[in-house]
Amino acid sequence: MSPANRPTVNPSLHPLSTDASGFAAVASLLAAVRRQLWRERFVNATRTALWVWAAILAAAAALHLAVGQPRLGIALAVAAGAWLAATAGAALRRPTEPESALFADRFLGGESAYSTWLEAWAGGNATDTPALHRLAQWTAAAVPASRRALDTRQPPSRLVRPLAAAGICTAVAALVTALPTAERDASGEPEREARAAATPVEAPSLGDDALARELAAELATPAGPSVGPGDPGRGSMGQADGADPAASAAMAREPRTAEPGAPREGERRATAAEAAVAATDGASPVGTAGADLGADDRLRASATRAAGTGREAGTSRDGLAATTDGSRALQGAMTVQRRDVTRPGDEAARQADMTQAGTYDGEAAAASGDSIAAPAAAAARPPAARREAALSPAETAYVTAWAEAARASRAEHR
Amino acid sequence: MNAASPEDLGFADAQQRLLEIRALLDGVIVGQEALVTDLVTAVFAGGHVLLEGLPGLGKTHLAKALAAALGLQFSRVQCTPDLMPADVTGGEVYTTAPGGASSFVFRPGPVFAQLLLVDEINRATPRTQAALLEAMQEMQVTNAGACHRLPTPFCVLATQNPIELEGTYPLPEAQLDRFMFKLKVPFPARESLRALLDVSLDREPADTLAAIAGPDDVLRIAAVCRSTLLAERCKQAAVSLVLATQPDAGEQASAARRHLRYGASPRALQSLVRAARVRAVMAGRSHVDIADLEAVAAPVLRHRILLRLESELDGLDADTVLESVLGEWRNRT
Repeated sequence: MSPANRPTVNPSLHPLSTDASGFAAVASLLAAVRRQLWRERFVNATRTALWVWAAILAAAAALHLAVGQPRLGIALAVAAGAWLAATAGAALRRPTEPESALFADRFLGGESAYSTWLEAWAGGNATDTPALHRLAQWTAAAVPASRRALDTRQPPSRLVRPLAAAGICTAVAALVTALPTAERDASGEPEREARAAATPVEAPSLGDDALARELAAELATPAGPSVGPGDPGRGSMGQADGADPAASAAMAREPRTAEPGAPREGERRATAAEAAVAATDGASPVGTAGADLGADDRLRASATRAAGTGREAGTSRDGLAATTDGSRALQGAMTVQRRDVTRPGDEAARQADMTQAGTYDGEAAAASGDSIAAPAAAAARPPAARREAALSPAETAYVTAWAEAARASRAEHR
Repeated sequence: MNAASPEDLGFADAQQRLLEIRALLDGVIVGQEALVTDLVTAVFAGGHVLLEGLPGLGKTHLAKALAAALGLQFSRVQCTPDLMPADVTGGEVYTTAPGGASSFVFRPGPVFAQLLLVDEINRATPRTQAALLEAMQEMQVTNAGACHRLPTPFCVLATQNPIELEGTYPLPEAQLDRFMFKLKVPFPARESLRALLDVSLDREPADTLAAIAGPDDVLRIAAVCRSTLLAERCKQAAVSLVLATQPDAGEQASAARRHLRYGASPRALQSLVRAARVRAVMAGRSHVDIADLEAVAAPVLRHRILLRLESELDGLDADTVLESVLGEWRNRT
């Protein structure tokens, strides 16, 4: 028995000095109880501290996700401080002798004998009475059973769960606190814009004259209705797949009910397509054609608006019910264009494909004085596409041929 | 451990005598072991006992057997509404000596006995019941300005019938508090009833019971019980138990707050510890344990607490409430 754990009961004080062996047995038992209580108290404090550790780190992780603070080192320092405080407090709070006697009375079959024994002899004011003799006998006889009960009573430490929780929370906190830098890099607006600006966006280009000639030949070929009158649904699907965004949007902007005096469906669709083309280059012959065909100002505005946003392509049923020849030519042309920009791995080109209409729309809105250019420009970025807005000679040739074919088709239809 | 000193024989002998007395009474009063234990506890703690039970359960028989086993002077009072106090305490009578001198002489009543059985005490008038108060508490009778000491040991066993309440005078709280224990005599179990036929069918066992102790033994054992050690922990526990029954105290149990109108008195605290000491000696200990207090809590407290009217209407009784109070008290200690 270490001196620190030895009870303060002085054997010389108690009157029954002849019962020294029994006295020593009881004192030894109380010292053992005291040690075990101390150990249990320390284990309990450690367990509590581990749970606190886990809670602190979990809270730190949650806080970090919310506001980006604190850092892992600070959380670890706080948790370690709490752990140290709890365990140190438990280590410093040594169980007293009455506590040990009370524990032995309650859980080791003492039946209040050890508390009575301690009171009788610890104060040194006990007198030699039959009751004390009987108590000494009783406690001496009860010590072995109490000792066995103490030996068999080994409460489980139950440290696995708090230890696991602390470890998991520490790992989670470390992971979470490591996240913010990468996430900020990924979501930072200036950096993203800088990266977008650094990546050259190539405007769709038809490329060479051979392709332009091929397209012109295709346009010159008389085209029948792409979709039969009895199958409007399938026609709308096909139109939606291959339609130019601007033209499709223009068709989506058409009124759902035919108004008196309004152009017929095929004519109206051609007008929308021409208007979309006019939006790309107001100075081109298409612009003239658009002016010729632009009897319906509202329709033209719809076309330019749709071309500016580029978001309504293929979403309107009206716009998908195409039956005119011109629509087929438009579909074929834009199919080539789409095929050109959707090459695998060309992300910048795909982005430019979405925003090209916005570029056109901005210029068209500026030309027509329409006020929808701002939202269109806001929806269509990046500005790098503007540099590629000018049509190449092949495109110009294609558009010219297309406009003439459309005019011829309209005249023939009349 | 050294050999037992002669003083140690006091506790050992006391325990032995107590166990013998209990075993003897268990053989006479079949199937009432707990009742017998409580009765012996109260007698050696110097208290009085109120027995409550239906007619024919052996209450009078138990009192007679106890007196016979302990060798105590026994007397009995059958209470009726016309019973007068002097019929219990005794009174002065005018007598003429053989020489011709006449004088008033105090003739002791049946209260002057070591074991007094007051049968159906609730049938006596409050005036007669009050005549017992001084005897029970002060162990004396005052008549015509003169105090007459009662013999020692002195123990009152009173019985009452819980069902026939017409024409009765329920004991006031002040008098109930004089009784250390209130014991309920339960109906015997089937096996006990069967054994009763073998024990007391053709004879009265209490009449033939041989005393195994005398009044001096009773006093000596009681003195040994009083020397039992009481740790501070047990003192605090006893105080906590009494406070737990107080509906307005700070340490009251929740059941007491809900169901009790009045709690136990300080006299209950004294009775609790005294009875617990006897229980400790019965268990062979010279120190009191919490378990001893718990064992005697119900008999000590059940007639000292007063239930609220609402709780009584809800069908609760004192034992039910005490069970809850004891449960909370057990967790506290």
